[in-house]
Amino acid sequence: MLVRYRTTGNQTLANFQTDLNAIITGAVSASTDLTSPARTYSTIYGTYPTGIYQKVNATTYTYSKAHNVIAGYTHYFRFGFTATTLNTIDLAQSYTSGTDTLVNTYQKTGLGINPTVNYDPNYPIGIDIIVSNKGIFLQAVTSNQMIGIFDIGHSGVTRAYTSSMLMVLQDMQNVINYGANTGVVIPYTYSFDTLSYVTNTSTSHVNITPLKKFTATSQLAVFENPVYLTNTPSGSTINLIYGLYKLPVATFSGIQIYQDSNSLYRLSINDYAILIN
Amino acid sequence: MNKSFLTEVFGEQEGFVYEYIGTVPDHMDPESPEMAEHVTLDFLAGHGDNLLATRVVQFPYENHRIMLYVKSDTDINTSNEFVLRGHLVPDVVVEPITETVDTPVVDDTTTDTETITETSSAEPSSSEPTQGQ
Repeated sequence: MLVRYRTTGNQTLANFQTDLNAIITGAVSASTDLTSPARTYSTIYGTYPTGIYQKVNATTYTYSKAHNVIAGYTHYFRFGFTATTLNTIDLAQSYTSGTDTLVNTYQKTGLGINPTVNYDPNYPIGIDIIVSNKGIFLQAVTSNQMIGIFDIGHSGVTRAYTSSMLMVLQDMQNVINYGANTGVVIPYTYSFDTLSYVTNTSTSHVNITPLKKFTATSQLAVFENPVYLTNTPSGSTINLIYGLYKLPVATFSGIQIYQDSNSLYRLSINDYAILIN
Repeated sequence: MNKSFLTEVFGEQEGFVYEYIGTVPDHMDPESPEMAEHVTLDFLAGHGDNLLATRVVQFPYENHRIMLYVKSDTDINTSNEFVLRGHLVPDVVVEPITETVDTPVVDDTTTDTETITETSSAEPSSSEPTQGQ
């Protein structure tokens, strides 16, 4: 599900917190389910993934996410707020409910996502929020943030060292051709460099960028190649990143939505596509 | 411990690393999530802030030492079950003190003159002593 979250002038951080929580927990299926400043201009694509996300604490914005295919891998994330912004996101291996404590946590700080963006028909931007069974993604162009959490598949290393996490934090501004391609962080995974579990921040995408080809009717065929991640501490083994695809260069201008041949939606960004459904 | 090693392990440029010297339950696998939870809760119980970002790593080749990373600007340990082993605040790089000398700006003409002078001085200065003889 993609919520293109667009708000009017009386938007507040509290409204955003309410809406974000409702989107993640499946309480939003139409824009009318959002708080009043977001009802008029927000749009929704796709459907909510049932049985994947759960709010695990009544006070903090802490959630569990089950892996979309691999049983036994549920990890946790938490949003942290300042008085005016969404400022931190944590991704953790596990969680202790009694004390609301994330265990083995990587925290990305300084997001500064300001939710009070007034909708302007001539400049129709806001915050895009994807919640799928493969990940959660937030894009706030006015705050210069494109950050998400994606499921990853097993490698030989993660199958053997089973405490390795199968979810990653992904900064979509630090990918192939848009940054140093070091935008993936695995909070907790096994390293053969240190012979211990580590936080791997030196992970990059491995991918073949598709070429641009045209059909007999002169339409652009949008090829989507899967994206893998790799890093040398794991012996350069690779893991699939679920729900993330590489597009031919400059297939779409800016940030756009399209449907594949099965009518499933994608959000395109920086020559990548993120699966919405 | 070596700061670059700790940085490699925890992937952070800031924070503090403590060694856990408390009691490890006999039944607990040192590399299990339960062990990480045990150590994390032990640390946070003393500090009182359950929103800190922490990670627990065990080094099997170093006598199974268990280390806890805490993302923080300051040393916040209040428990005697943890011993500070390193902080990941970057070292202050001290620039070497070099003496600067103001050199006059020379134009092309001056350079040519100097070249000529050097060329002249490189030749045997036979004229002056000869004249004196």
